[in-house]
Order: sequence, then C-alpha cells, then structure tokens
Amino acid sequence: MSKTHSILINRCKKGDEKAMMQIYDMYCDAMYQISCRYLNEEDAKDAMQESFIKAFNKLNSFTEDFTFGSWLKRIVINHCIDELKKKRLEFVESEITNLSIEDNENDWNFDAAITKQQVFDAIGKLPSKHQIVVKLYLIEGYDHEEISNIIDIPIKTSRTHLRRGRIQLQELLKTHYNEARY
Amino acid sequence: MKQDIRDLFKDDEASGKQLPENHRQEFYDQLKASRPRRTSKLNTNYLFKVAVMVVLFMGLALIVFTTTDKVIEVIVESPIETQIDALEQQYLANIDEEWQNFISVANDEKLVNRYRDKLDDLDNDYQEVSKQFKADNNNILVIETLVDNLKTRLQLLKDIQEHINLLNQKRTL
Amino acid sequence: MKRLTFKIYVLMLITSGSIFAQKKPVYSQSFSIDKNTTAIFNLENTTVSIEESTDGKVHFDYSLEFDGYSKKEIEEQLGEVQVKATKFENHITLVSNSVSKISDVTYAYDAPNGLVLDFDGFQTWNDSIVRKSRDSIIKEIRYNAFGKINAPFKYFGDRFKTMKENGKLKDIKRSDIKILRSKFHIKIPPYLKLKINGKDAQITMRDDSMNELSVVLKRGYFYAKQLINEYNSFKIENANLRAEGIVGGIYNFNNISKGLIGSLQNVKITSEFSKIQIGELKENVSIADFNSEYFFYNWGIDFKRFDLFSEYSKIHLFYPQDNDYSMKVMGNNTKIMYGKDLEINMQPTSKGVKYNMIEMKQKGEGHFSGAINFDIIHGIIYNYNDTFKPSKN
Repeated sequence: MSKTHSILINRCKKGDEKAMMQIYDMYCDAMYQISCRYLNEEDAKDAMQESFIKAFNKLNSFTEDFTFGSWLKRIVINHCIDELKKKRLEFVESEITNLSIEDNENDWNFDAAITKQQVFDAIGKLPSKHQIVVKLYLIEGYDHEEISNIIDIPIKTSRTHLRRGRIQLQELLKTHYNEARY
Repeated sequence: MKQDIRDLFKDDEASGKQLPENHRQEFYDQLKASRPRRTSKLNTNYLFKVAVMVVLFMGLALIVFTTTDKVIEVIVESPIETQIDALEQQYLANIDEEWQNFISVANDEKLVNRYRDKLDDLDNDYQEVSKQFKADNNNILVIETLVDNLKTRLQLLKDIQEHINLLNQKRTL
Repeated sequence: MKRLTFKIYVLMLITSGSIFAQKKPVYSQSFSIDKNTTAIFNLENTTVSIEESTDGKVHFDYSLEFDGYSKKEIEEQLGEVQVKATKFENHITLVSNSVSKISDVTYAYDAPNGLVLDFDGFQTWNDSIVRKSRDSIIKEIRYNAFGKINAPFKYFGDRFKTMKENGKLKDIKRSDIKILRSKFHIKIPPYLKLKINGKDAQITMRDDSMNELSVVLKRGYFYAKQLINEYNSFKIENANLRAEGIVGGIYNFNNISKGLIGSLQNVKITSEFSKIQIGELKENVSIADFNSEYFFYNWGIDFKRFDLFSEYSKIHLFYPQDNDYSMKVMGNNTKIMYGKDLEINMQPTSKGVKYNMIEMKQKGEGHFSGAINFDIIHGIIYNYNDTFKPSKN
C-alpha cells in the first residue's frame, strides 16, 4: 500500500472524517459496481454506503495482510449477501446428490466469440442459489473456502452449486451462440 | 476457438453504473450520524469509584460554601463541574464504544433505530438534568441522577449485545 | 454497581431522632371538594406523600425539618421552595417546585478535612433467580419505599471516615451530621379525579387508592399500595415504579429500572427497556413489550388469560403451581432455556414469519386456571421448572 494511502487509513482510524470522505471518494464507484451485481441500484447504493460505515468501525481489525480495496470489497459483499438473505434467498441445498466427479471441474472453456456481457446476461438467468456462487467465483474471484465463509454454506455445497451453475451456463451460452448463428 | 471465461473477469472494469448525484452528501450525513466522539477502554469499576469521589468532593464543597464562620482549608483541587465533566467524558467514551460494538453485531435495522431513539431520549434527559446541575451543583441527588443516566445508557448497550449473542449461539436440541 | 447508587442514596436516608430539629412550615392549604372535583398536581423536584382524606377535603401540608442548620441556611432553603395551590371552577391546581432538589431526607456533613470513602466491598452480587411469592414482593416494596435501613448510621460509619489534620482517618461523629427532612403530605378523598405531572418527583401513595388517576412521571419514582380503577392511565418514563397491586387501567413503562409489582389484574401494559418483577398475574393481563426483562413469578387461581407480545425481551417464567393451565408460544427467533444445559432454539425462519413454537394443552386434571399466550420475536425465555417437558406441535 502506498505511503499516502497508509497515512490516510491511519487518520481514518483516529476518526478523521475528512480522511474517511477521501477514502469514500476513492472506492465508492468500484464498490457500487460490486453491489450492483447482487442488488438493484437503490439497494446497492445503500448497501455500499452502509458497508463503508461498517468498515470504518472495524478499521482496527484491518491489517496490511490484505489490500484495503480487497478488505473493503469483502465487507461490501458480505453486506450484500446479508441483504439478499433478508429477501429470503435460500442457499442450502436440501439434498446433496452424489454427483460423479468425473467431469472436469476446471472446464471453463467457452467459445472465444462469447463476450463478457453475454456471460453476464447468462449468469443473470441462473437460479439464485447458483447465481450467487457463480458470481462470487467467477466475477469476484473468491475460492470455495472464501465463498463458504461469505454465504455460510459448507464447501461441498459451494462446489456443487458452482458445478451446476457452470453446466447451466454452458447450456445457456451454447444455445445463445447457436441462435446467434441463425 | 476456446477461451477460459474466467479470464474475462480478471480485471474489474467499470460496468457503467452511475451513483446518483447526491450520494456523497447522503453518505456524509450517515457518517456524521454514526461517528463516535472518543474511544477509550475503561474499567467500569473505576468509573464508579470516580463517581463516589466526585460525590465526596461535592459534599466537601457544600461544607466549604455554607460554613462561613470557620477557617477551612480548601482541599478541593478543582471545582465540581470539572470533575463531573471528566466523569461524563469517560462514560460517554465508553458508551460510544459500546454503541459501535452494538451496531456491528446487530442486523436488525428496526432494533438499531429504536436503540438510537432511546439513547437520544436519554441524552436529552441528561441535558435537562445538567441544566439543573448548573443551578444546583451541590446537590448529591442531581449528581446521582446524572450518573444514573450514564450508567443506564451503558448498561442498555451491554445488555442488548449480550441478548443478541445469546440468540446467535447455534446450539440446538 | 447497584451498591454504589444505593450507597449514595443511603447518605440521604440517615435518620437521627434529634430533639433539636426545627420544623418550619412551608405551605398549608385545604379545599372542600365534591364528587365532580378534578385536580392537577404539577410536581417538579419535589417529594410528596399522598394519603386518603376522610373529611371530604383536600389537604396540602408542607414543612421542612432542619436538624443542625443555621438560621441563615434555613431561610435560604425556604426561599428556594415554591408551592401554591388554587381552586377555580371546581378544579384544583397544585404547583410545587424547588430550585434545589429535595428528597425525603437530605444530609449534609461538616467535614473540615474532607470525607473519605474507606470501603472496598463494592460487591455486585448476582442473586440466583428463584420464585418469589407475591407477599415477598410486597415486602420488598415496603422495605424500599419507606427507606428504613436497619442501623443506617452504622452502615454509613462503616464506609465513610473523615480525615484528621495529619491525614489520618477517624470515625465520623453522628452529632456532626446535618439533616433535612421533607414532609409534604397531601390528603385526597377517594372520589377525586387526579392528574399528576411529575418531573424529578418522588411520589408515594401510602393508602390503597381507588381514585381515577392519570399520572405522567419523568425521572423520580412512584410507590403505591393498591391502584384500583379501570380508567387509570400511567406513563412512567426513566423513573421507578413499585406498586403492591394494580387493578385496571393502561400503563406505559419506559426505562423502569427496577419495577416491582405485587399483582396485576385487568391491566394493559405497554413497555420498553424496563426491568419488572411481577408477584402474581391475575385475570386478563396483556403486555406489549420491546426489549424489557420481565419476571412472572406466580399466577392467579383464575387468571383466565394472559397475553404477551414482545420483541427482544427476556422473560423469566415460573409456571402456575397447583393448577392446570395451557400455554402457547408462537413467534420467531427465540431461545427457550431450561436450566443451564437444556435449550430449545426456535431458529429464525427464512421468511421471518411467526410459527407455533410450543403448545401445551391443559392436562384435564384439577382446576383450570387459564391460558398463557406468548407471541415473541427475538426473545429469550428462561424456564424455571425442571419437570417441564414440552410437546412441540
């Protein structure tokens, strides 16, 4: 972390409101983008702002093991997931069937012509259980351990949702691609 | 040709969502509303002992001011108001710290709002009694009311956190 | 913690029956009234005791007893008190105010070299919670309301010393303590409709009251024997309430620090942030609460029905002894504890909808006393009956 950034964070720890507003200015847009992936725009804005407040209150637990941005991002995502939970989203699968682990877990190879936006749209069509895990894995870049911490589900469930989500994405995008050709 | 779509998301590009115009002001207001005045760690027993000493000094001040025909060595080092101020600052710092702890564990907006309202109400009470205190600063009863108010606020915050923690413990039959 | 405030308060309650106390009248007034007379008492910074009048008149009698005060000090104190009662068109208004706060007994101590606290026993004890009978609650109310501490001087002397010139501690002489006693007695006939607006007021009703009372009190305390009138309306805020029995009326409690009620009957209570112990729940009581701590110790032989609607409350529940009863608990996100080890956890549902948590039907043997209904969210219920076995629906 750059020196000026460190100084800014230290000032925030001491309760310096000007420093806090500077941090807000630096990160609010990026955090807003992230929130918008999970919530509608109005809720995303509220969630983003509340997350900053939470982050400022927890500053004492921030060490330089992470970058400030990723630490803040984690707080934002946790908060968004909490908001989603309030809207009664269910994450836990009642039956975890024994999926054969034959198919390649890392098969994220899709047609090169598929654009990022198309993937985004396809993700939006997934059932919510899978959608969240796919977003956290694919877009935010978290691994299963982190995902299980964020949504509070067992790691095995996270893998299952991701696998199913990935398979469904492949279906959706294959169709789309095929349709596009005609 | 194939691509690993994970690569598509490696860099976090802006996806074009714009925050509404007044978002900064809105955030600033929220920030202000949640800021602590001061934080420090304090032993509550110490606070109570301080409270007692304040009372005693007050008692002494009463004597000093009312017995005019005796020669009295004034042992009071600082006026009662200063001591009450100091006590108040220490309590308020503790209360603010507990408030921060509370809002970080509480997920229920309604609960937080009600607590905020109640603490504001007690703060208003405190201001009223402080005015009384300025008019009547030798009165143990008024000081007692002030200290009670501070203690109550602190205790309310501690109790609700304990309550929330108890509810969150996941042991089930 | 409780000890400390108690201690400061004890300084107020030292009694010494000195025969040299000077009683100075402050105000005296009487009014004849009829069945339609209404009254308002506006009490600020005042301590009053209210009793029943048997001669059809309202009497106000206010005097201060000075013990150890100089003439000048007495004049000063008297000058600070303002009391006035007027009667106009069958309506009595009493206004009582004081610059300095006056309690039952106020003390002052001549300490040329200062007072020193010499006591290390600031124990905060945690009483184990056991069932209290209605009578023991009433006893507790009476003990505290009339402030008689056994051997108060010894209590005080054990804890405070004064300093000698050389800085060493010595005991306090009883004769060096100045005492001010406030005696503001009001007598009212039982048919007077009375409204009390109290702020930092200490109000004690020494007789059972059937008056129609409307009381708003902020800070201070209200102690009563029986309060019996279906039109009673009480709003007690940031103050304390103790009553031996309440029958009828609507009560609003906000931040009552240690409420003690002997028994409740036909009452509707709305409460928040309070701690209240109830000796006996009789007929038709309903409580709507937010974040208070309640102790329900005993149940009337025919309590018929009890309703509790609460959020974030702590309930200490003792079951009806001797009689049959039924109980229904519905709600969400509530913990029910049985002793230290056993616990039923009513998890929050994903939809936040209330559901039936526990239902105990009546046994069908013995006399049926009533139905207990809880509608409770984010609550904690402590059960104090080891033989209880729930049958969940």
